[in-house]
Amino acid sequence: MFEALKVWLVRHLQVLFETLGRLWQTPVASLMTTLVIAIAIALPLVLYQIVLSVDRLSAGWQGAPQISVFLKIETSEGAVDPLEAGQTLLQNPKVEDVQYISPEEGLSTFSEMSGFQSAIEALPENPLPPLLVVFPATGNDNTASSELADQLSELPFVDTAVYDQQWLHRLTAMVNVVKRAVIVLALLMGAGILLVISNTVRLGITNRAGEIEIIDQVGGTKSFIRRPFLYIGAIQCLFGALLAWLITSLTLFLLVKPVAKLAELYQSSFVIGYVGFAVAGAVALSVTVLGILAARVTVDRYLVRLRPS
Amino acid sequence: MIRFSQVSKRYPNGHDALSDISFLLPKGSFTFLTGHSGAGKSTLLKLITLTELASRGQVLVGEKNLSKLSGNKIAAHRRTIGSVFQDHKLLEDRTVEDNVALPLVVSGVEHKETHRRVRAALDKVGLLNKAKRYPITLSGGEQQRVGIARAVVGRPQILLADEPTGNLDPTLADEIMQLFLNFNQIDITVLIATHDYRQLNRFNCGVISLSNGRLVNQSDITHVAEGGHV
Ligand SMILES: Nc1ncnc2c1ncn2[C@@H]1O[C@H](COP(=O)(O)OP(=O)(O)O)[C@@H](O)[C@H]1O
Ligand SMILES: [Mg+2]
Repeated sequence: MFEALKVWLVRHLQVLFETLGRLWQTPVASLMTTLVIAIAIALPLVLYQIVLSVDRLSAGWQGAPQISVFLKIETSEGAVDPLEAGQTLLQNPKVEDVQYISPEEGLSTFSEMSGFQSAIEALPENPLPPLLVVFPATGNDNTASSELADQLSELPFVDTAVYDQQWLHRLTAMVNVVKRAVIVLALLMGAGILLVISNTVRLGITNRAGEIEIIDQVGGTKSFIRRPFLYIGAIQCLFGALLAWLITSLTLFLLVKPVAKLAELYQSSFVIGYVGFAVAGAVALSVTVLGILAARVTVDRYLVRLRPS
Repeated sequence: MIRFSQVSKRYPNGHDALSDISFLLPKGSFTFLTGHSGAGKSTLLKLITLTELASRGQVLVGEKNLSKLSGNKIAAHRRTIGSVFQDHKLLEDRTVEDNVALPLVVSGVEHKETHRRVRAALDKVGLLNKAKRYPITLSGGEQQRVGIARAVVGRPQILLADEPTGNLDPTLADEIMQLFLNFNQIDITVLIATHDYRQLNRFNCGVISLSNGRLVNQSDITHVAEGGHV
């Protein structure tokens, strides 16, 4: 029993090294195949990583939805007292909290952030209206928050009420579209990998038709004949996945700096992460399994011909 | 033991290569299979190795009814047969010893044992000193002997040869035949297809003659080992 296991293991190692040797004998063809597979993996992987980063960022924002309520300076009933207006808003059960930002505060924050200090100082008067920041009690429910904003803008002392997260809404919808695109792309690339492996294996079979015939004649089993081709599929896909990981890391590395710069301009903490070992490992494993399956189907279609008729 | 019972073979194109063939080859017998080119000799051998399936009738090898075998059983059946081909069917990109080792490698024989048996087989055909050479560097007769070493290395019960001396001059042909006789003496059933009638008269052994796929004559099958030879 132990002896049989040893023979089996030695045989597998033999085939592994034979296959590596064979791939090494045609370096250009092997490298091309591996590169094609690598690119097919890297493309969806890079996109996936970007989408993942955007997703993580917008999830972070969604924690604090707020409505900006801009007040009128005065109504037909006289001047508006912002603090009194805040108290009125707090009586609405849908309002969790209200924060007052005076025109002066608003202007100083704005001039700090925008870098237009001198221009702002040159203004004859403060153009900003008083602002009440409303935190809705409805939490992350976007529809409810939008409705609340509409409701608040109907109040007599309110100029406009803007639900700040409308754009986040759009971003999320867009991210969902891209997510779907990543899945479709991954499927297409998977099909591409299947075809590439199938083609490589078919070429290998053609080159070794004589050998296959002799092995069949001297009593080699189907799995014996199949084995080297399965190794071709497995090895090329595994190397392709490793190379894809390199390509992905390099691409993301090239993106990290410009994206950080862009994010800085928008006061955002957006950063692109690298592909983790777990994801890379899972991708490598599934692509390798895919390669083995593709090779197997291809060889089996050929082996039917060896059956006596 | 090989038994054909009313065996016919029709190829997919409708050609009847064999019609109603019946014979029995006892274990350890040595038999020539003769007939003109196209008579059906190769087809008959292919039915024994299950390269082709009989269209009608039964082929029994030992206890096995070949029409009942499938999948890995076919492979296992082929491992009990050694085949020699007219064109050797050697792998050009492998050394002589690697070629001879092939039947043992597919059987999963352990490495050291493989090496030992390959050397023994090469020794029997007188090519031990050419083990590391590539087939292309050998003469036609030597290549055929490599083919024979490969056929016997797995210690088969049956040895089939399809015109093994077809491409060889008479002296080399006799040497090859002598090799087959040696293997017959260790109780292997030997069946050799040939249209070299010279061989038939020189060796005192069984003959199956085919003509247009029909059995025309089956002379007594005797053990050459018992009956003497040459
Ligand atoms: N695969 C095949 N398909 C169709 N006809 C075949 C095939 N193989 C052999 N034949 C025909 O069957 C007949 C017997 O062939 P074969 O057994 O090779 O004869 P031999 O070996 O005695 O020369 C020939 O007429 C040949 O043309
Ligand atoms: Mg023939």
